[in-house]
Amino acid sequence: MKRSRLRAVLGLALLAFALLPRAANAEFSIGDNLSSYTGVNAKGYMEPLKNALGSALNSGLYSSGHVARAGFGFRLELRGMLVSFSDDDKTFDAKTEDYFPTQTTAPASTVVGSVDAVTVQDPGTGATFAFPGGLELDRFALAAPQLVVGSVMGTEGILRYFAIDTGDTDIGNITLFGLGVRHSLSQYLPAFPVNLSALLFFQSLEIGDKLIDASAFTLGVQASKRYALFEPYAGLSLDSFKMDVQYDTDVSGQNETLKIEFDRDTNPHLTLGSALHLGFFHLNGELNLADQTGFTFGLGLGL
Amino acid sequence: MRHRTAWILGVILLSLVFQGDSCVLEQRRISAILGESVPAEFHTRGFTDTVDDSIIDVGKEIKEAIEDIDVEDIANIYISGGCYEVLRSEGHNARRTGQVEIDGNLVLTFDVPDNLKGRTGNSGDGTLALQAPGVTYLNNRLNTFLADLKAGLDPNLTVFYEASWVSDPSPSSGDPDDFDWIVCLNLQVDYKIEIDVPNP
Repeated sequence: MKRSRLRAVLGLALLAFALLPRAANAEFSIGDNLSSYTGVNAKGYMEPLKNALGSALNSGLYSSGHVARAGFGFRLELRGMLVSFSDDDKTFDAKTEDYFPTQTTAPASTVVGSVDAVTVQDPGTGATFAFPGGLELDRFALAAPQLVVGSVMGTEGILRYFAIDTGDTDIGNITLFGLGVRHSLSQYLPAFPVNLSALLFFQSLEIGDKLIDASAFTLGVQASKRYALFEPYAGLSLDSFKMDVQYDTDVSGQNETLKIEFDRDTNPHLTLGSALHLGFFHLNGELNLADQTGFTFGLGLGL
Repeated sequence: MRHRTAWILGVILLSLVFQGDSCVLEQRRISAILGESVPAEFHTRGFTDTVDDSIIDVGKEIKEAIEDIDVEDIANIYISGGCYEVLRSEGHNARRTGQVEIDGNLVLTFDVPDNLKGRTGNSGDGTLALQAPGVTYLNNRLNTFLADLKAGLDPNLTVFYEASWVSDPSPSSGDPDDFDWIVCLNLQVDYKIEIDVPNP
């Protein structure tokens, strides 16, 4: 079971594009289903994906509280972040669009909810409004490669970068870029029994032609202690996440581009994990308690 | 020995990375909704006209909208609302009340406060009201149209719109009407699409 889970998560290693559905017989993207919605419904439809993205992006940034004071070191890492969806994430209170004769609220699928459409009918006229189905997802995974280089004055730099052209004109490019630093606090507290560091990290993610445009920021402290091959670690941080969605619609009778701006989310984030050091190879697994609970698994190669 | 074990574990992990992709993709047949609006344009001129008509090939509009969809995957086509917009206005300005029929079936009534350029409204804001006879008539035509498409036929769905209205205040020879406007019917196409989704 554990091996199966690990295999599944690591399988996402090269693919931020796994975020997006791939049509078997036609071009399709989340934007197609969004096109039948305007503002308030689009927010409700996309909310679980926004929460999962925010939690995933701000995870997997470290696996230790140790930062060397000086000397060259590097590590190429691959992080797989897994967030589970609850039943509450599967539906939202959708409202019929403003042209529907009787404004009606109904529980409809979010982007991760049931594949089935929900329809409501206006009893006075026979007009019908249909809310699209979701992708029926139980979990969301995001993988990101990152490079860690250090150290100067107890500080190491972390770079996350991923860019791919999916070859699908509906989806287009996916670009993830992240940059941050981790600084040793232990150098100022030599008697402290565990390694301590502080992290500052910024990321941006763009999917398609601004279909999803997101930015994440986290600031926190980490602690760890090494026991032979193992190194348990913990971290506490403050996460911030902002996401905008832009898509085309003619739902109101006119072709227009809608931009949906979600409010910035700011949440505390507790991380508990352990690393396993096998010479040149480094493995880690962690539990993340944030806006949404998730797991992160990592593989690192380097010194 | 320890060094060798580390290398073996690393190679195994890397192989898992490159094999894992296919096992996390699952196929879904999801309900997608395509929104479309079919407009009919009317012209109001002079000071005696109270009626105008328009012939619209609704079938052509639908065929263009669903050209990327396999017709067998279409579950339903619904009438979900109506809208209007004043496209051009250079003459008399007045409140307009009236109705729109499709092939003689009342489908919309309207009560619009003015005919200034850019004025819009819809069947949810009180200026336009869908009417059951026209909606029922069109839904039946749409069902037949869809069934014929699925049967491999090339069905026609051309309808005759007729709009009639009264103006308050009325236009006059010195202040005649001169504006163009559209009413539209909002349609939704409910169809299925098979996609691969990641569900690790």
